[in-house]
Amino acid sequence: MIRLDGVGKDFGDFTAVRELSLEIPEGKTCVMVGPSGCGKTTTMRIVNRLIEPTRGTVYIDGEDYKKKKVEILRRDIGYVIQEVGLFPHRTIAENISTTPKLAGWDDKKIKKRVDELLDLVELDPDENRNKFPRQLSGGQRQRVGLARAMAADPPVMLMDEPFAAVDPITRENLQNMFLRLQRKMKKTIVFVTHDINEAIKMGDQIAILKQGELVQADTPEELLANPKNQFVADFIGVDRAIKILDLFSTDEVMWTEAPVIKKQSMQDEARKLIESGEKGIPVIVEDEQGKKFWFDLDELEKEGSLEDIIRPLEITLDPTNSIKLAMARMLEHNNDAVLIKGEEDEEPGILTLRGIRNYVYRICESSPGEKVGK
Amino acid sequence: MEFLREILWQVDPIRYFFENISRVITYTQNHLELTLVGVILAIILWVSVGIIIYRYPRLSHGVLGIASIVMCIPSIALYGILLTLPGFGLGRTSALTALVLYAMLPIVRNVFVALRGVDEAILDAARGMGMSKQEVLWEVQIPNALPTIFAGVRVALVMMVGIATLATYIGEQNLGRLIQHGITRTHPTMIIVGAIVVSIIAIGIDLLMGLLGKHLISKGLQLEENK
Repeated sequence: MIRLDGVGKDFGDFTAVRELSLEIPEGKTCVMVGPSGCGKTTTMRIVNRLIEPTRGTVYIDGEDYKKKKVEILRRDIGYVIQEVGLFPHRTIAENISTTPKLAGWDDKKIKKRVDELLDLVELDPDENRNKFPRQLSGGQRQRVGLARAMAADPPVMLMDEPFAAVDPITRENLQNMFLRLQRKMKKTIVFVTHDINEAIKMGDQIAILKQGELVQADTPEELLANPKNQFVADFIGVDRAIKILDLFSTDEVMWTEAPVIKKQSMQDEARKLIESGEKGIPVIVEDEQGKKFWFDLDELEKEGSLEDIIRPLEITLDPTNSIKLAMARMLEHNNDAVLIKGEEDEEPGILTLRGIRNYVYRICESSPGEKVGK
Repeated sequence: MEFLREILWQVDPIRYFFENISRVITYTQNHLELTLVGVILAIILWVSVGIIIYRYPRLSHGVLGIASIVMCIPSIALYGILLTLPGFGLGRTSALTALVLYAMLPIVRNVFVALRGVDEAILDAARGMGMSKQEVLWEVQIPNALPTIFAGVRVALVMMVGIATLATYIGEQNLGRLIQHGITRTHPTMIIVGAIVVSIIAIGIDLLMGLLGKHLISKGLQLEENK
C-alpha cells in the first residue's frame, strides 16, 4: 500500500504539486491523469524520491519512506519511463539483470530470472538475450523496459507514460499484455498518462489532477458516472456514455433469469407469461435442435404477433467480454441481443440493446455530467 | 636480393636509414617512451578533471578556457617557458609537462561534452532503479561516453607524437633530433628520414587506437540505431 500524505513540491516560486493526499491499495493500479503541467509526473517521481517533496511524505506499507536509504527504497520500486532508457552499451540480458545485480543475486539465479522475464513479456529468450537495445524495435524495447523494472520482483511499480511512444497497435498489444501480467502479479502501481482512455483501461483507480491539485480520485466507473465537476466532465469527454461501455462486462448487465420456452408451444407459453404479469423482460425460445431465438415481452404486447418479432440469437459471448464488444456485435449483425455463456453449469444469460441502454442511462442520470453532456 | 639492395641504396634516405639504424631505433624508443608516458599521465589527469568539471559545471568555463589558451601557445615557446621554471629545466620533466598540457583541451573537453551528452532518459532509469551516483557514473555514464572520450585521447596522442619532436630542443634524444641536426647541417636526407619515421609512428598509433577503440567500446554503441 502506498499513502501520499500531503505531499507537495515547489520549484522556486512555482508550485508543481500543492498538497496531495492519496491512498493506493495494495495490488491496485492508480492512474494519474491530467493535462500537461498538472503535476502528475512530479507526484509519481516523488514516490521514488527522484524528486524530493517540499512538504509531506509518503508511507509505503505504513512506513515513512524517508527512513530508508534512497537507493534501497528505489530497488523495491520498479521504474518504467516513456523513453524506456535501456542501457545501449549492455545486452538485453545485462539490462534486465540491473536490479538483481544491485541486490546481489548470484549469476545462476539471475540467468534463470532473465529468461523467465523475457518469456513473460513475450520475447523469445534465445533470440533476444544477447542482442543490444539498438537492435530492437520500439515496442520490443518497452517490453524489455518492463522486464527490467520487474526483474527483482518489486512490490511497487511506477510507470510514466510507458506506452506513449509506440504506434497505436503496439500500444494496445502492450497494454493488454500488461493487464494480463498485472492480473497475476498484483503489484501496486502508480501509472501516469495524459490519455483518459488509457486511464480507464488500465486503472483500478483514477486520480485526476489539475494545476498541482487532486480534483477527483475514484474508480473508473464512479468517475464516469459521477464526475465531480465541469473540469472532470470535460476531461472525460463528451462521449462518456460510450466510455462506460468499456468498463462493464456483459455479466453485469445481462438478464440471468430470462424465461426459456419451447418453440413448438411458444404461443401458449408467451401468453401464460403475460398473464402471470411479467413485463419488460426478454424471453429465450429454444427449438428442437437447440437453436435459440428471443423476443421482448413488451414488444409482443404491442405488436401482438410473435412471428413478427422473434429473432434468432446468433451471437454468443463470454461473461467477461465488455458490453462495448457486445454492442459492436449487435451492430454488425443487425441484431439487438446476444447470448452470454454461463460459467460452468450456470444458465446462460441474455444481453439486450434495451438492457444496455437502460443500464448506461441509469448511471449517467442524476450526475452533474448530464448537464455537460451537450 | 643483391640487386634489390643496389637499387635501394641509390635512394639516399633509405641508405641513411639503414646505415644509422641503431641510432634511429634509439631515437624511436625515446620518442615512443615520451609520448606513451605523456599520454598515460594525461589520461589520468585530464579524465579526472573532465569528470570534476562535469560534476561542478561552474568550473567548466574557466578550465576549458585555460585549456584553450594552453593550446594556443606555440609548442616551442611552451618548452621555452618551462625551461625557465625552477625544477623543470632541460630534460624529460619539461618535455612531459608540455605534452600533458597540450593534451588538456582534447581530453578534458571531450570528457566533459561526452558526459553531458549521455541521454538523460538512460540516467533517469539508472537512478530510478537504485544505482548510486558512483554506480551511475562508472557503469552507465562513462561506458556511454567512451566513444567520444576515446576520440579525444586519440587526437591528443597523435598530436603528442608530433609535438614530442620539438622536445629535442630541450635535450630529448628523439626523432626530432634527426630533423634538428638535418636543418643545422643542411642535410636534407636526415630531415626526410626523421620526418618519415615520425609520420609513420603517428599514423601507426592512430590505426592502433582505432583497433583498440573497437575492442574497448561496447558493441551495443557501435551499432546503427534501429528506427
